[in-house]
Amino acid sequence: MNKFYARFRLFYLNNSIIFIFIALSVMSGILSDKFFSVRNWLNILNNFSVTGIVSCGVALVLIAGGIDLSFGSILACCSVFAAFLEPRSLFLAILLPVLLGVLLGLFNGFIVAKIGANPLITTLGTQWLYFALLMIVTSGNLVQGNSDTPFHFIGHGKIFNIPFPIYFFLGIVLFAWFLSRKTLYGKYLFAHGSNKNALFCSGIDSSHIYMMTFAIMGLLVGIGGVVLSSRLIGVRPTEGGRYLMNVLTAVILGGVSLNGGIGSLVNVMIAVVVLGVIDNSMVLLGVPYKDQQIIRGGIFILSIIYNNYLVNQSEIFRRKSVSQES
Amino acid sequence: MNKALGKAFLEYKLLLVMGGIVILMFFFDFTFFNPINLINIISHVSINGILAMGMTLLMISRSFDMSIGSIMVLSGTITVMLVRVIGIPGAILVGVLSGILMGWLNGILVAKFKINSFIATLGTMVIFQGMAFSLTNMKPISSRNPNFQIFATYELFEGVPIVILYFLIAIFIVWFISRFTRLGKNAYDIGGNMDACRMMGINVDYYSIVFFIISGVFASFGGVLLSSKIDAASAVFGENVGLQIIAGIVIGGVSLAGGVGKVMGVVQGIILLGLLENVTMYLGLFGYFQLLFRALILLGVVIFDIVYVNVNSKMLEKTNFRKMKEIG
Repeated sequence: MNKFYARFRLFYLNNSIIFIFIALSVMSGILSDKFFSVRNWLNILNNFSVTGIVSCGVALVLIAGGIDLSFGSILACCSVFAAFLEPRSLFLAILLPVLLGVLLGLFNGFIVAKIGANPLITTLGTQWLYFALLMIVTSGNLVQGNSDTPFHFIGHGKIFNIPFPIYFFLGIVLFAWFLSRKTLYGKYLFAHGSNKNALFCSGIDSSHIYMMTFAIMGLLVGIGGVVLSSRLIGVRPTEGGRYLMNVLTAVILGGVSLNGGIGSLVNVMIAVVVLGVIDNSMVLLGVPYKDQQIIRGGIFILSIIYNNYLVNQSEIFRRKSVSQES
Repeated sequence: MNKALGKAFLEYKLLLVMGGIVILMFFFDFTFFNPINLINIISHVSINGILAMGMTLLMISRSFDMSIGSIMVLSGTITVMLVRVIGIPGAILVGVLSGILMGWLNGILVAKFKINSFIATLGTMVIFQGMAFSLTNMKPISSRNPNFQIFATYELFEGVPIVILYFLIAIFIVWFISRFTRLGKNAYDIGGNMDACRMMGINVDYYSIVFFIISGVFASFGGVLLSSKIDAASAVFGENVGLQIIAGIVIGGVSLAGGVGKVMGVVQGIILLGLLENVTMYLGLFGYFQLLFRALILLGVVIFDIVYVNVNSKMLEKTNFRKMKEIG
């Protein structure tokens, strides 16, 4: 019994976001009877699918010990590019924006990993660079797609009555989870986040791993851009700015450490859904729009404080159990 | 000789860039050298400069404050709303003092709850902006009191607005703190090695809260100035200001790793950004070229510093190796 309790406690300490998620959903379910309908849940997942796809990429970068602020601009570049290519060719409209995302991510990665600049300030610079280039190329105008091509299906189609972006979202989470947990690359990723000198000393090209992580983030953001472009039909170049806060919140709520080396993609996915639940239940409860931001920020800060407390507790707990065993 | 030249180059590279831009303007458009325009550049960067001055000590001590844009907006909003109720001097005082409270909150979150300063101030950024949203009902507000504008736009001489004086005072205060007080010395020490400072018996938590409060007060002073300058306040004024200021400070030579940086460098960085803005306008380019130039300067400075340090340390290694060979 005691052993079971200990195991449960450790699980709870490491995956607190699951319990936050359950508590929030139960609370919203009690306050609003429409909350637990299939339609509402599909709505939440559908609305946050792009955020989820981008969050997976950013979570990988944070696990590797870096940070990226430029994903909003990369997302905007890719989705505008996709909207531009869409009337010409379906195949290219999917392939080239993703490639563009990889390239832009690779550029970030090159400056951060190979030259060795601080990731925060570098990606701040590239965020402005990409956004400025995008604005200069499009002169700030909306890029119009059209709604009767097959491309439209990516964002609006349904299979078994479930919107297509949700499959994308779950597929990407699965991919990123597989990459981080089941491959050698994933092992190096976590090792780079927790101690990159040790990784380098064991004979692995750590800067290459780091650069590739940025490229993979670019890949995922590019896929997110294609989905976003198809969802919106016409894309405004300023579209990416909204995602900065949401994605960072989701990744940090999901328990990914800013110092690197800690994080779980499944928890990040649940954190994205938690954000969706918060937004959704605020609408269902009729919180005025002008007050929503305070609540969002308050929940963010409180859950970070709580998460920090839990991390400390799990550290103490682990030490205790180690000393008991020995 | 060579080494001294290199060091001087590293020290004054921003001045060189500024000189290059000015020479370019010499060929391009001579109206740029109109004194009114030059004063305009300084007075335009004054508010950003005051914000940057507040955050310099904080960044030297290796944490930073994303929320200054929102602090600026919220205290501006409070001031504009209070002008109708308790008069201009009281409103300005309350607006500036509200920055103490917000900076203190940031400091508590970082120092006592041990949250990474990036995350903590990201959260408070959202909260403060949300408060401003909910106070203003998401609309720009105005004090409807013509005397309120005097606080920022009073002209000292012909065409020299008082914000420049505030900027100079802010520079002097922070320069004095960083050079001659224990507070400034501790900022460098905490940024250099926080654990060592803690072991030496320096109250690190107390000092980092003080730095956050300084940053908050300067930000709210900037906010009061901004809302007084245009006699309006809106919750969307402060978006991205935090990142802009951080970029300016980094261009000015403060390391994100802490412990390095000079107040005068930060002043140069901020003025360089203002100069770029002005020059883009003079060249008649599309507005987003300004963002492009800012990004290129930021990336250029960051990469240049790293490459320069790398080359230098390699040269140092080589010379040391040669000396060792000569000795051995």
